[in-house]
Amino acid sequence: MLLDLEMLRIRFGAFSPVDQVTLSVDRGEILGIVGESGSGKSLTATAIMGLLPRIGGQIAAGNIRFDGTDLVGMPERQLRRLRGGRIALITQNPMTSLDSMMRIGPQIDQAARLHLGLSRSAARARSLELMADLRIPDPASVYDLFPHQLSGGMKQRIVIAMALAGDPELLIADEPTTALDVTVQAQIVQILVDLVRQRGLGLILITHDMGVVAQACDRVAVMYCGRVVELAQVDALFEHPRHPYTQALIRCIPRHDMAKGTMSAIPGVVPSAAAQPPGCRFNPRCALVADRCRVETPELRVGTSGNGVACHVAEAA
Amino acid sequence: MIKHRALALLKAVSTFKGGISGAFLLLLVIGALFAPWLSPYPYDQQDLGIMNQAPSLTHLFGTDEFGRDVLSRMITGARTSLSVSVTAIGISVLLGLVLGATCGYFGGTFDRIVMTVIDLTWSFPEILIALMLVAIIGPGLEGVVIAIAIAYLAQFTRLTRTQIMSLKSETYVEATISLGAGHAHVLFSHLLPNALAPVLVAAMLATGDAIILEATLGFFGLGAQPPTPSWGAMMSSGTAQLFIAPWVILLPGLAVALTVVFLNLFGDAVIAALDVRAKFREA
Amino acid sequence: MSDLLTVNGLSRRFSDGGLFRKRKVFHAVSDVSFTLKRGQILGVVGESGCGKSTLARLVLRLINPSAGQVQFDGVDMASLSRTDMRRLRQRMQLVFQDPYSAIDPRYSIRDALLEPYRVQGVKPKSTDDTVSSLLDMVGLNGSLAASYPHQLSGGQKQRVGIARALALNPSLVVLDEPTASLDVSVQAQIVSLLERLRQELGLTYLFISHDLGLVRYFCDQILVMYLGRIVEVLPSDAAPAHPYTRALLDSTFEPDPKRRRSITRLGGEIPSGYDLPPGCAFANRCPRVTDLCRRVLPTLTTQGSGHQAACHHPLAAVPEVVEQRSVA
Repeated sequence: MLLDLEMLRIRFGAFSPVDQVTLSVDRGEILGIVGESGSGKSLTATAIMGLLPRIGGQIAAGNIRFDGTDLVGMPERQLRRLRGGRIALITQNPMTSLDSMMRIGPQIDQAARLHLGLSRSAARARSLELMADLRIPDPASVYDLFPHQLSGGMKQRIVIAMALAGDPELLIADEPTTALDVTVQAQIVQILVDLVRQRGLGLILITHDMGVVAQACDRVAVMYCGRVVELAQVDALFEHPRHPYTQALIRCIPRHDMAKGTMSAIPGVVPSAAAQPPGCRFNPRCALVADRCRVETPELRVGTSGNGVACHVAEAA
Repeated sequence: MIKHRALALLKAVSTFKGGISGAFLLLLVIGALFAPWLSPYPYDQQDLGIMNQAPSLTHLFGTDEFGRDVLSRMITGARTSLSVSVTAIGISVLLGLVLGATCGYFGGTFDRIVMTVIDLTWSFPEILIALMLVAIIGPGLEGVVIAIAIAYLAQFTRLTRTQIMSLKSETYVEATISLGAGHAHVLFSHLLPNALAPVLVAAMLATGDAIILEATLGFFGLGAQPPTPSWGAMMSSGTAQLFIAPWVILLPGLAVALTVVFLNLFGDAVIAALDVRAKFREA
Repeated sequence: MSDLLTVNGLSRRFSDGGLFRKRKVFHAVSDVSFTLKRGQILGVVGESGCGKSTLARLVLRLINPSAGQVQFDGVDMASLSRTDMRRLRQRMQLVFQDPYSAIDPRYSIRDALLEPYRVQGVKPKSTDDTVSSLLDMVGLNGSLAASYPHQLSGGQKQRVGIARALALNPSLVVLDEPTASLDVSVQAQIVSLLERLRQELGLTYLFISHDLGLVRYFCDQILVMYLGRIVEVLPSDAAPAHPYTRALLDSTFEPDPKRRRSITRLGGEIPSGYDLPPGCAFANRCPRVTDLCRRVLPTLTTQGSGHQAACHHPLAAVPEVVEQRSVA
């Protein structure tokens, strides 16, 4: 495995917004982390990048093993060498990931010069090549433009090029298409998928969009209130979702072949970090809730198939 | 709404900075309000036998060149200084709100004319404008009030206008218009209440400046006419005895300085406390 | 069914620049015509900058058109006085995309819900009953009346926005991306709520969205907009005839890994609304483009029942073809 998270717990003061998170991603694989706001999916990404202290959080328990080495407790100097190098992050908003005062090209060059020790001209050549790979038309002239001269989709491609410049083995894309129009979203998803297939990268695709998950991912971790509630191969997840939350989430998505008035919603609201219910965190909203769910927290048990669910009811079935 | 504002004030006072400065300002206001009862001597009681006496137990702040009690004159002078600057800033804020809101909301030619004039006045120092105006109106407290009010008008008009213009594009304003609201409702129920807080804080800070301006005009003999005391006029008459009786000029000077410092500190505390909404958003 | 809303040749241009720069004209909405029948849900779909939000505001006359007219229930809005227009607003309401900023942060929920009555000078019999029945109608607990907007979740705020819009018993509700800033499970709650309210209150909806999947589920009829123009009008279950609608559909991912799409890449970028090409605005990105498209602006022509497309080379009505597994 390229990356292995084991029973990760993230703490902010008295709260643990992420707890017992176990998941993994291999080279050449796309792992989707899907969940709604407050599910802890972005925090998990921040933890893998070792950036929690910057926002006032810390890892309270568990391991993050990258290529066999535990990143938890690794000195900042070593983490910095990994970040942007072997592990790269693509964020949601391309507008804020780019320095508006700097030309496009040098921003892409940075990672290659820093992590691969390339000369200015070698880095430039590499950046142009990357831009061409990402189907940016006329890379040589885009290289000299400023961010505000580019469209949103083009900016997101530049951000991807920046992430690729350090020649990463693991790419974490946190809602990479949320800020984009649908036709552009489709292009970006296609680019990410192609990257994984061609370069053998590991990709963690964080999204709230079940459509993107179905389109791109190999395996999926469904998160709810800071916990992984289901981990499954993508086909299995959509064909036989086991956790009631996964089932409900899939039913929430409008499809044109659904009869009008048949969209079903999940009742209630996501509880805040300060007001988590005891037992299974989904129990107040769950249609299949049993007495046991209100007291005992179900654990995610991953079988030999790599699939698993954290639900008393689904396990009993 | 009033609840919110009272809450912010309470919060401001509960901080160290806000508490100390609030207490000083409260003391000052009480002193000014009850001056006739609080001052140990009538402010205009002359006794040439005790001219220029240094502070002592009988005259805590000493006496001036006519043997008048400096403390009594300062307490009464606080009355002049505070009432003049507060009235002037009050008038200025009111006018500024009306002009700024009209310009910011409706825009157009009216806005362009008003803002050109406002910008012109802004390019002169307040003291110069005030001096010119007092020269036109004539010396006396009314003249000083009008002069200060106009000198600060530019600041409040601009601030209000900017606030209104940025609030105008808020979604809730469009939402209200789509309900069928007219201009008056939009202005008075949404725009002005939301624009008010920063204007009020600016007013508090400007009051400090206005006290200095009033003192300056008084120093030039353009403000309160003798025997009515004001801090500025006291300093002015004290210059002659600077080396014989320095307390006559230093103590009113100190009063001006402290008042201004505490007004600014209190303004800061209120600004910090008013940021409640930002804090809620973080939570 | 009678027509509630008739829009004819509606256009809106914004001009820019002035004294020192060359005056530029931005075509936000160009020559849009449609009718909306009572009780119908009409969807307007398009990507950012296609003019759909401007269209919503033109229909409600929150901004004035540069050309064209809007008839609401047979009345031309341009003919109305300011006062009459304000009174008419009771009957047509808007629900906003961003529930976070659609309520004055200084207003309690109670005040926000009573504002429509205050604005229209209508006195509800009992204010408490009115507030609680409005909250109840949108599935919110009556105890929320005393709360302030920042204490509510996005979904709750959007419910308040809907309740506010329905307070004055409107006939037409324009929904401007009402779920775009919400989570999917909350989106489903809001959509179900809107479906229920339409049935109970006999509402007519104009539903603006960028999400073709949602529009196809929710609406009866769909307008597809591209750079300010309607490129296609189609029943929600019809196969698209315009290549842009086709591309939009192909870009929408189904939540089903067995129906992975091969992504037909659209070439080129969306041209800016400032310098529109003389012919079809989609020409520079269209796979079926010919010389004709670049020269002559296509007009809406009938493709079938309730189906029109503005295209010189419309796609034949073929069932949807999905290439399976072509991505992996």
